Amino acid sequence: MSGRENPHGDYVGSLFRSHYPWLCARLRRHLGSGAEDIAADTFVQLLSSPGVVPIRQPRALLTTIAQRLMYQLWRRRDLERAYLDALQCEEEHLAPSPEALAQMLEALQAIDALLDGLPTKVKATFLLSQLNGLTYPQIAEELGISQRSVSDYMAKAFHRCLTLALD
Amino acid sequence: MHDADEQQRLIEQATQWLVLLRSGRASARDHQAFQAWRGEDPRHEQLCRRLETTLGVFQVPLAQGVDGKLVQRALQAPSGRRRFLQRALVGAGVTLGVGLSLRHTSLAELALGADLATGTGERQDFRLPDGSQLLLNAESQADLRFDGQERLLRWRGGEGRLEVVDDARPFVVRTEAGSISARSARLLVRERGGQCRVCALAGVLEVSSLGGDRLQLRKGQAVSFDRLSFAAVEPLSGGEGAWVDGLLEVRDSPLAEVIDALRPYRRGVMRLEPAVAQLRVSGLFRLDQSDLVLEALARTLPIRVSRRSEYWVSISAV
Repeated sequence: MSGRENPHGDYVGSLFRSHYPWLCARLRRHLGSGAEDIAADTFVQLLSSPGVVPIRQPRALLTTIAQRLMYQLWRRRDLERAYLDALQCEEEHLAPSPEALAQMLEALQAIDALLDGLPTKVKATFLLSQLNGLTYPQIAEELGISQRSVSDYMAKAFHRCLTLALD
Repeated sequence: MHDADEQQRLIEQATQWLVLLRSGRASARDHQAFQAWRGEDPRHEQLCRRLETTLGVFQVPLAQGVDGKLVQRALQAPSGRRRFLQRALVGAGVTLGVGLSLRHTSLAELALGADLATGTGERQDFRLPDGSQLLLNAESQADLRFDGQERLLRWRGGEGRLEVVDDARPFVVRTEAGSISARSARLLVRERGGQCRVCALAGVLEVSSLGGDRLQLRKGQAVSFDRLSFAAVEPLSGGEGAWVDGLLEVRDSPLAEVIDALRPYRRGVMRLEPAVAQLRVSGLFRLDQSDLVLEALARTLPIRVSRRSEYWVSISAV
């Protein structure tokens, strides 16, 4: 046995050499900055999923991974912008420290992923319960919906969270 | 198979418990009964622990006292770029949803329905299917709707420079305030909050407000308008297109205009106190270096620029 044997790593390395510049160029057409980061992250993901050898259409797979990473990056930026816009409407003394803001933006992305796809009212209901600690009658009044709907929405949200918890 | 059913049953049970416990009506006996359910089976205990981990994402906003409504508003952030990307990456030989049917279509058809967009601090050049060129300033978006009758660019906000090439179909830019049409021309368009400004750099433009007013703009002229009315037509000052080179050129302009031009180049919040918004500014600034611009403004105007954080800048009277 040789000292260093890592066929998967070698394979991804060869893919990197033949396709990295191509992927960067491709991403640069859609990303002003950060194309190289996304391209590099794409190969890191490939490196950490050993089941993919051999790949018949490496560029197709690379594009799919890069696309997912770009979605995440763009969603993060969109969330960041929306959160800061919403903050701007709040009282000025709420201006958070940079560390607090960075933590919050990260949490926001995780919450977005957790509740992704649920209807707006379900999200609103769940957030008022989870973050404001409101009771169902209070939530019903706040959102102008029935208490029955609040219970239904809470059930939907918990069902989602429990399903993801078991994944 | 049975495992999956069993798991679903567990999730249903836990959901019922949680919905009751959060209602505000749960009694002490309900809480005891839930604890008993949790303890009666290791799988119940494990599910509850995993849920606690999953709900850990709420710890940061809880610790910071962030209002649920604020989070809700942020989650409603539009993700318009997703659609753009789906189409943009087609062609790599991947099928992405509608990709299969698009793979062999021409670029012109591919661009149908595409969203053109730039992010913070980005400027990007787009070549349109008819050969026209669109340069988008930072934080700007437009939709392409080309068909046999017209070349329609639906302006969704921001600023751009357009070089329209001659074609049998008219080129129309439709904004919230009205529309601009041309055959062959070079123009600048900017739309923010329902206020639109058009500059004719070459050629002739027909401009109409949503209210139905029309006017013709010739090379070297500019006009501002909203849904209802036009302001007076003005000669170009010469600095309007400086952003193309990453510059901001102003002569005796209100500070508010300078700050608005910087906003698409900065992440975060810039608050401008109304008391100083109308101060006059002249100069040539680099859009890509907004911190330096703010410093320069603070040195030459009676204003104070205070930074609470990298994301939060307030500009107020001294």
